[in-house]
Amino acid sequence: MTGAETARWLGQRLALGLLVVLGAVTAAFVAFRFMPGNPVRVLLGAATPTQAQLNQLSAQLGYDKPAVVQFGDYLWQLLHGNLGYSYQEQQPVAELIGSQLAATVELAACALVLALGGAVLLAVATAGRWPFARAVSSFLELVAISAPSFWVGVLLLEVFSFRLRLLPAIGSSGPNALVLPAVTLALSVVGVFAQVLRAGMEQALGEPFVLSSRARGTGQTAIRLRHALPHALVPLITLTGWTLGQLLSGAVIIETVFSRQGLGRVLDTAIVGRDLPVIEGVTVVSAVAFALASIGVDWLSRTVDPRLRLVAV
Amino acid sequence: MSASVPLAPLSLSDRAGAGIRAVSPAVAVAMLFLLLIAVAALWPGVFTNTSPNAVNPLVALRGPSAQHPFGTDELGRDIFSRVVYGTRTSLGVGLGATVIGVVCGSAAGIIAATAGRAVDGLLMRLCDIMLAFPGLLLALVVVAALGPGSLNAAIAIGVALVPGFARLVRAQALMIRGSDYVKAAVTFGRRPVVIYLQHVLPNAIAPLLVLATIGVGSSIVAAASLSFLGLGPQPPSPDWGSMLAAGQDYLSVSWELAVFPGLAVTATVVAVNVVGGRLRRAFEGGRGVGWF
Amino acid sequence: MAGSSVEGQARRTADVAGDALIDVEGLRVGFPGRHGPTDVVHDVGFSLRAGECLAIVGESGSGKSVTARALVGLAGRAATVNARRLRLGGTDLTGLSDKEWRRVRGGRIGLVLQDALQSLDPLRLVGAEIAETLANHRTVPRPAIPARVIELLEQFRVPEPEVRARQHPHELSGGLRQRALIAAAMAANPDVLIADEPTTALDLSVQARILDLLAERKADGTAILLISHDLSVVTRLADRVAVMFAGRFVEHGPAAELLAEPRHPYTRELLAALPALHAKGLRLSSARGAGAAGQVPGGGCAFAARCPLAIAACRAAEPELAEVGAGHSVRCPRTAEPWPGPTTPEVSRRPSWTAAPAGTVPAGNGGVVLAASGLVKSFRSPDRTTRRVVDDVSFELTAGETHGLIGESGAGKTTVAQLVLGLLEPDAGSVRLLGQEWSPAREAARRPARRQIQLVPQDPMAAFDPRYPVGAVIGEALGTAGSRTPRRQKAEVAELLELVGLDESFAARRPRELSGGQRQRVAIARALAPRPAVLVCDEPVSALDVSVQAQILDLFADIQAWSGVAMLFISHDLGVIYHVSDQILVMRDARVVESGRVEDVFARPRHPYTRELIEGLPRSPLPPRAP
Repeated sequence: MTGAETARWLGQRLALGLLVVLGAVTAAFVAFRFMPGNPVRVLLGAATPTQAQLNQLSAQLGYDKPAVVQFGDYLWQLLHGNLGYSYQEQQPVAELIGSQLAATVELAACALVLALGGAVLLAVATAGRWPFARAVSSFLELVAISAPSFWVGVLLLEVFSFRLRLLPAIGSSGPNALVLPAVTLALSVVGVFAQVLRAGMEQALGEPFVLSSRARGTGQTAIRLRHALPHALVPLITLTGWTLGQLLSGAVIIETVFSRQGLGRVLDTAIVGRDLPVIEGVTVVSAVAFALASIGVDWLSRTVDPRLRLVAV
Repeated sequence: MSASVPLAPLSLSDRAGAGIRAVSPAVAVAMLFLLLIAVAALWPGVFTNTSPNAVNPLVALRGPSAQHPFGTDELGRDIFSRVVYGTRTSLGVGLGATVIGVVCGSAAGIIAATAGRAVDGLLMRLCDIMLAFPGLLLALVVVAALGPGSLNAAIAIGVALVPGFARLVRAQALMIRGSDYVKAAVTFGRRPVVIYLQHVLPNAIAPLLVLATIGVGSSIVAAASLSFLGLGPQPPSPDWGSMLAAGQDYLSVSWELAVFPGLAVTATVVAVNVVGGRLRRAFEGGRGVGWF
Repeated sequence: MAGSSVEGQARRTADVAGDALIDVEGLRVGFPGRHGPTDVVHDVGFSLRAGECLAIVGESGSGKSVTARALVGLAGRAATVNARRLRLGGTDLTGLSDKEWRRVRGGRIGLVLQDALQSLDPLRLVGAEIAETLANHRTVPRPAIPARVIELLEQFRVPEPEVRARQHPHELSGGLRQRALIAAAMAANPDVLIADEPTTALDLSVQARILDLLAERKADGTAILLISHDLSVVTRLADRVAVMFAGRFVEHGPAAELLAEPRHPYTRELLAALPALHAKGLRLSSARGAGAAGQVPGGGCAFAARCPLAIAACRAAEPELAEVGAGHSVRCPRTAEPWPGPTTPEVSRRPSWTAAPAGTVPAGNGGVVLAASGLVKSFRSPDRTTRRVVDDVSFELTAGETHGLIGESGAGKTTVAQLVLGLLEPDAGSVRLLGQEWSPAREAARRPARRQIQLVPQDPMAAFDPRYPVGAVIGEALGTAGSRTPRRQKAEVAELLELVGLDESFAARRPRELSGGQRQRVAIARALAPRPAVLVCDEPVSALDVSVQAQILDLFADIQAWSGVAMLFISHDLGVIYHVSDQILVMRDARVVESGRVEDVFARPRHPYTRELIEGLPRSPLPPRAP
């Protein structure tokens, strides 16, 4: 791909992504400003203010201004990185999210690596071979896909923390505390990864170019790694969007189960307590992250499969 | 008719020969299990006489016994009975969410494919925006707006399913519109309305229904997740997810409360996925990801 | 390590002395089937010397590809391969370990498959595929591999080899791709090359060049085993021919002799079915169906069900291969019998062919049913350039006549079909159907006339609603029920089925279950249901075996004879076009470069492209048959 083509493609994508983020932000704004009930009261959560205090706060927050002005203010604030203020947590939302982001990213990254590694091993080992091993693997993957991650997490906790006392049950510090949460989160995606990878590999192994390569004297392992695996990875890349979604929503649950710090806990607490600014803030951050991720996925697809480059956009 | 011979069959998915009538034992077991689940949801009394809400602190947190096959929870309630009665809520939310997703998603998809480029663009951008959030988060946000409860959970999960299904139906409808058999129908002089009703609609919806059966599985898990977080049916209603949440608190003392509800969820979703996968394979004629 | 050219040379010198490079006797390949193991290849034997080409000819399902793959141990994990003798030079190929096979594959026997777009890894660079062979057999030391790849590409006539080596397969044209594939197969200098349908996916002009390349290799001393269903390809390259049917060699002998005087009934049927080798106007097939090639219960001759010479003894016991001349053997005891000519099938009732309301051929038009003039159509490709796909195409179809439209892929033939059918609007020019404005026009205005022009598609499966059984597929084309009762509808469908040679029980079956030929018949029945004045046939026989193709072509001829329908017949196969057409249109790069009566154009082609095409048509050793 020439530099000019890449630049134009990137530009188009960014513009589209911006549109989507804008839409998400607008949706969040509309949803939360115009929900039933007095937003200010909801904002304050458990506290019971007087009517005068409510009015004062209303004016302070600009809730008495017309909707369009409010939206304009909102956007303006966003552009300056101001995601609002959480009264429940007594912290600016941006600060709250920022401080918790690292832990969640660490968890998600770890889980992703584990899941990919596990899936590749499973797929390469069982694709097109030994019906028995394949059936066993299939079944395990099916269970992994079907079991709710919080249940798996609780089970692992039970076995490894309470019974065997090998790993800590609570906490976020140190690599030991990362093991169980990362494994649990990885288990929730490894099933689908392995299925897709194996299906992709088996399809590739049946293609004529594999026969051609074997006819040139290439051995089975080399065929799998050099010819089949790259083809199987392509559909996996299209799954990246889904994967990121699973990881993020899984993090919400896993962090609750293992009492870990992270964005998931923040969101969970916010939802239970109806802390609107935080929910809005996380929504915006998530939308931006996903828009960027989807551009990244498309770019990765085009790099891996050169045939896709023929089609512009 | 010349029979085609498998040449160098390295691929094991050559079991495409199995027609829709041939059902493997695993699929049969799964279907049977689903039947049991359905009965449990509709007539829980068939499986247990004990009331799910009968509190009895004296026998709290006991292990499995003749009277209490799954043991008792922290309030002395029979876990087995609560699991059986909980089937209704979990299945209800799962199925309800899928129905919402399928109906709204199909409608949106068909409209997008047939109503012209402006409408199509608008609807697809809306889908993109919704898809900018991972499913569970979207559901969480909707529940945050509507408040906890079974119905709201079903709506929330259903809404999260809509953009995915809408995209699928739209892609199918577009593909069918451009297909050779629709062109053939044009050459016979058939009117557009007739073509849509007789060719586009039936062929677009059918694969969706198959995928929806697998969607039921993930909806059930999502429902359980929401109630695990306290956002589903409120206590004392028996519900698998909230039972698990409670069970986590008592892990050090008793394992039954944590294990059995989760087992119920997993088993149900496995069965749904097996049957759904089999349906999908039969529909696609032997290709595609399937189990057994 | 075997494969270095010095050793190869030595081997070749030894073999020139007359030893066979490949020696096969009693080869049997079986696969597990639903009713127990079935043999797909039976008792096959042949030998191959250096510099010699043996062609195995047969239709799909005959077992020729399995035979080829068995020679390199790639018949498949489920296959059982047995042979009395299976030798490559001095090596016994039965019971080789996987490691030993890897030395043989590519090092001593090379395999080239059809369609390089699928046979080269689309995610890898072309050069990497060639380098793989070199690395596998350590033909040259590692650092020298890139240079050797370029040399090989040059040797196999790929221009700009440095550029091509760093490209992906889809970036090369079909011919270049195939050459790269052959280069990859031959990179380690194997003594034997197996080419399985090497030219099938290629355009006519490119085919010739690939065959030249293979001929060069042959002259260089490589032994070639050519697998093909295309007899014209075979005549160019083969020294000896083996005809395969139902897993057995039914005839085996020197190419010239076998093609000039075929002995086995199947060979004779094959050669009779070839449209290119005939005088025009003759039938290609016999009335007997091209039935299944399979095991005959009771173990008789596998061809007996189709054979016009079969007697009771044929069905009782399978005949052995017997010598009928020097190096020429035939598996049939009745070759001395006179060969019956092709026969016309009996059709008991023909549906009435009354003209539909809007459509009697206007008398004053000189019988012209369709007039296309100055058709122009352009498309925008993804990289934003506009390409003219049809440029100023004009022609007139008259009742009862066939216009053949020939051109290579991408020349614009299918687009012309779509324009004529009114499925695409032209950018310029017009089409008049039965004297009325047809295209461009409002759809509502022309809908009543749609029944007058129908399409027979290349891929019937894609053109049938996947949910419909055959009866519904045809029934849809009959039009709205109106006053037609279900019983009447059923009867009309049955009539149409019989017209195309299918029993009325086919109405309940699903297209998925039918063979390619049967599906095409259903497509033709459907196209005839509305009683059109014009049939547009877009490559209707391209995907069919030669004998099935022959029957379908005969069917078209029959239908045109008594219905007077005008046909626009599109194909890339010159022989087929010659056989079916009265007038011919030659298309190249969106334009019609030559047109006229087909006999005139073939006798005196004016445009250089037409000349090139006709030259490429292999000259058959057979004298033209007397009518």
